Amino acid sequence: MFQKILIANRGEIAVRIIQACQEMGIATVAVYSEADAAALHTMLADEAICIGPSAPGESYLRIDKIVAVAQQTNCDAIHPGYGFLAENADFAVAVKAANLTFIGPSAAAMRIMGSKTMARAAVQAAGVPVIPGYQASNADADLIAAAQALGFPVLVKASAGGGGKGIRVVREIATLPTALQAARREAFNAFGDDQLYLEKLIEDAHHIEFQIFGDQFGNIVHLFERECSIQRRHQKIIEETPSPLLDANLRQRMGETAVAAARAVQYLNAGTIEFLVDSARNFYFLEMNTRLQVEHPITELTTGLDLVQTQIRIAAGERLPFQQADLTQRGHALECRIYAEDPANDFLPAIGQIWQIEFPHAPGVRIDPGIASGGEVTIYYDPLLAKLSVLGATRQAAIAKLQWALRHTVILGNVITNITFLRAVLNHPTFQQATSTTAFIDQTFASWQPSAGSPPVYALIAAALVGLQEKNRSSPNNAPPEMLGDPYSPWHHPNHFRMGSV
Amino acid sequence: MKQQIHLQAAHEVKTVTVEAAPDRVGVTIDDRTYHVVIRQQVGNRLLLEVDGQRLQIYVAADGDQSYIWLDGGAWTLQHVREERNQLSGQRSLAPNAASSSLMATMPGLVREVLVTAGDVVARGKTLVILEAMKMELRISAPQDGRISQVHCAPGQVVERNQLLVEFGE
Repeated sequence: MFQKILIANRGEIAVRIIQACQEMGIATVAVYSEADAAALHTMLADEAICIGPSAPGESYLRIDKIVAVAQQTNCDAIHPGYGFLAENADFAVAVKAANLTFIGPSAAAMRIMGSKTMARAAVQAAGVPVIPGYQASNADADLIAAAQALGFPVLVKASAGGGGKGIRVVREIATLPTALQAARREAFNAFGDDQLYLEKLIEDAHHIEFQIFGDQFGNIVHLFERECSIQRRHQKIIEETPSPLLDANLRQRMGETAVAAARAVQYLNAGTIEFLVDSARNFYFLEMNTRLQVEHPITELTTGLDLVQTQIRIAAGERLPFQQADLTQRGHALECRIYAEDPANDFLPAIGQIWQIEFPHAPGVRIDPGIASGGEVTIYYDPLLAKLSVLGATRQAAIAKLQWALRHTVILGNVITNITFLRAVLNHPTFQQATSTTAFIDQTFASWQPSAGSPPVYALIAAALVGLQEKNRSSPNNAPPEMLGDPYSPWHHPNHFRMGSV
Repeated sequence: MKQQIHLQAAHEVKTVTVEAAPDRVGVTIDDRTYHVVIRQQVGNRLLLEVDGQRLQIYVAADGDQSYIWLDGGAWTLQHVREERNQLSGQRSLAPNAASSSLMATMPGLVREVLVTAGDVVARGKTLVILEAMKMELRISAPQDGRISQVHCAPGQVVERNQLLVEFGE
């Protein structure tokens, strides 16, 4: 087993990995940028090394610096988390070249799955259904002819794609030539590669992914699905498992297909096969994420497994400690992502200070925090503050628990969060009846605004009491004599007093 | 003896009158008096009893702003020096339609500035590209016109509502 692991990430996932290492008795090294000097992950690791300025390109994306720190601190392995360098095959190669273990798949599997067209070809050869599409030629005339054969609407996608760049929805032949031109330009600017391919657009789909795991002995299993249809602008915000859409038969077929897709690239370690499921319950391979997923906690809650620890064991050369037949799911889990963003300002990122953050505690409530009291949210990184996950006996019980947990999550600061929005989504009948597809949020909440009503009278009372405490402390002569003369008065105990306790 | 404080939320100013008695505090808002007992105060956390209703409220003050967390909701209240009805609400933060200046709609890093003073631009032209948290935001011209001044430069970090570009005659 490894003695010391470097975590090449920040935020909640770095915190999660450090915690898993600590349980296993493995020392940890955090890396951080200048903006993260006091970030939560740097405080929890055994060692923390600054690797550069705040911009990710100068710190968390610097392969050379991260590998050098791992060597200097005598690490045996690097865990990349998700995002940043997690799906960068060059990073995996560099880690291996430095005689360190990369906790993840092989660089070869990452390269195949990182290319949309290579991934489609690889899994198709293994008998995995892919979204009907066309990638045989990159010439406009061929693409136009292929679109007519597929039938509209179609999606124009960049072969090198990612982050929604180079994607166009085309509903009729007349607009296709312009869309090809625009997508080509965008793809070239973003990826330096203007290759395009076509996919049939599947509307009102469910986005359902399967967690898979492979070891160095050729064992590959799936750990069931996660339903990720609740997305706002292609960003997942609430995930759940089991998916309300799947029955045992479809779950088994999709699970076996996911394992076949992973086997097609001799996949090692944790990965996720994403599928689209259409209204006729046909499913299609969408892509594979060659890393740990943000929403992995709901799989952990329902299977009772620790995916991060399993990742580390597999990377250290151990066998998968379970076979497919050993795996079952229990209960229903939901996760929501608490983001620093302003629902009243088009969900644009919000920044600022968090003076106090308090999470709820109850059976079946799990917190994955990325920030602590006193933390700061900056413009540089993903606005994910924390993940809140729950396990209930039923879907209904899990929804009630998540609503309770959100209501009792205290975030005191000048940072605006999406908590009111999450609560509104959970309260919506479409979500409660489990009929939501990927179109749900954008259609139903397109013009949603947090209620702009007056604050509750209790908020005014509290603000007035604390405001007058401040005022009287700064100029005690102005305080009314009865307040000063009263030994029980709150005004005397500006920092720490207890009333009502014996 | 009473003390008064004026709190503004959105466009409304409320006057809160606080009168302390030995065992409790009377707080009057809109002619209604609430009997408040502060059961505990630890750091930012207040345990209040308001007319018998128990409440846990978190309050932090930052200059003239009070930030409140209560029952799953967050509120920001501004302390104003005297009672002003609706007055401050007129001071709009965002530029209105007739305005000739463009503000940052989110805090972020100025990635690119695509115009210089003197440029004549058409409505919809991208003037400034902001970036925050991996998100790119294009600030476009709301009208045809001539740029009179540019107040930002690539690499600069701007606050929300900070002036970026001005239009002139």
